[in-house]
Amino acid sequence: MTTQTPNPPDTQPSPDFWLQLRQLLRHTITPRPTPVEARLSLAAAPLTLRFASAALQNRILPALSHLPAHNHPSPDLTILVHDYASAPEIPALLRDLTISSSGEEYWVFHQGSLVVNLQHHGRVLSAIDWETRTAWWIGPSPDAIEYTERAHPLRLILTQWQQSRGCNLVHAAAVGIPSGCALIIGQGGAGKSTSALASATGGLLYLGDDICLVQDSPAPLVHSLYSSAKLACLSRFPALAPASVPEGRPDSEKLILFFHQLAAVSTVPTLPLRALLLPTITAATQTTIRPSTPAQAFLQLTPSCIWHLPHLRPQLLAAFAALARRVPVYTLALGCDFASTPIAIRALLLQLQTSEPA
Amino acid sequence: MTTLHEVDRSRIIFEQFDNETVLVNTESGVFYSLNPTATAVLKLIEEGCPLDQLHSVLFPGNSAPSQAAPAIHAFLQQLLAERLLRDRSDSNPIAPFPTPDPALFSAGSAFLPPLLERFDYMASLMQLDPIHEVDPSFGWPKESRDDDADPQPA
Repeated sequence: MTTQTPNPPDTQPSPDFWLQLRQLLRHTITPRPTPVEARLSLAAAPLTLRFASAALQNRILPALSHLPAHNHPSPDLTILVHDYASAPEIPALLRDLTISSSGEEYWVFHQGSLVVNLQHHGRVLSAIDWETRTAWWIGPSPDAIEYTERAHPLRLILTQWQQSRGCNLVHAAAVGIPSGCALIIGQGGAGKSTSALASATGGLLYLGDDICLVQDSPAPLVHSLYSSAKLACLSRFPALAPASVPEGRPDSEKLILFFHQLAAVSTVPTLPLRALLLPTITAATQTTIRPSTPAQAFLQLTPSCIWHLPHLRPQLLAAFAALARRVPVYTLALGCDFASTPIAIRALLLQLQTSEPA
Repeated sequence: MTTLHEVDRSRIIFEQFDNETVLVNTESGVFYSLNPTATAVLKLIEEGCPLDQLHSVLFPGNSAPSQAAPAIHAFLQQLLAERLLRDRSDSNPIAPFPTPDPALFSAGSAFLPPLLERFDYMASLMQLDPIHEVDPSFGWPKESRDDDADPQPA
């Protein structure tokens, strides 16, 4: 899918800028000590995170701490997490950049084996070197990582890496039982988070409330990416209060929760995908489920492509269409009795498990 | 010479699911859902049926309900207005065309007017598209500042 670059480029980078950046990342910053390390398995691929400080780890790791550990000698990707204190050459190199009108925007540059992402007016750099299977995230300081970003840290790097492995990030929640899960797809306000959290507190396994990874081949799978959830208020789900992180929350933002240490929620890294659910809020008391169509599922999956690189969006839409054709689609008609939602989803998943050919 | 049409695949992603269709305009982010009648009409257009013959192919032998002709005409106008179709390079009709589903178009069935539903929510997202891919040979992007035509370095 093509999009227009909103502001035409004007100034030229210095001729050796990319060479300098590559040299800095590969030969100056990579060998630098990173005292804190986490070895995780994401979508069955070994990922190593190396942090320049415990403070950086504390900001980034909670959302990923539910993932299983790996002990693979050579991870598929190693992400080095630094700040300007541990990698001062980067702010010096980026100092004269004047880009991006919004902190939410990313500028993505492809330079040989290197993909470079600049965010927050060029103050945050993330990059992947496909040759060395190394990535870098370098921001001003741990405290400069925004509250909401702590729920979904390193998202662009993880999205780009996983997409190269055939796992696509989708804007969806996912919950399930041991034999399989349902992906809950819908726009903001459709009831994804409420359904996911009602299900998680109602005994279903939890993979995510807003972002998941979907792998279409050989069999459809959903991989959990983050253990986090976001809620406007805790009154509906008081059991989740111990997982909330109110520190640093701006008034305008939802409350972040991390489930990796909460006994009331069972997170799971991966489950087979059995059903696509399209939530809709109704006036009924009980939640019910009825068949819907692949076209309706595709309509709801389509906006997820906005989170992917523009040149990859057409192939992503084709993957979403294939998924919508392959997995049964249902409308999740949400009743006001939240406790009925996990009961309905569990019953559907058990029914699909029973009807599956041996 | 008859002008034939087809979905403009240079800009439009075209996904057909059983008897429903979804079209996505990759430039604007607008997408469209077509109900079974609209899907059947679009299928015929894609098969090379001229627009002025659609009605007679769908309802052979004057079996059309009275509201069918204006409804199909309005649907075609919508397809053209939304720039979902383009002229085909070949200009010969490829008759005989497949027989339309009798459940939708037979004399005894209730006529369901073709419906093209437009969805703008992804278009709104694309206007705020957070990801901009840049060819490094073009240089750095210029900072967007509505109130300042000559941005200063940060």
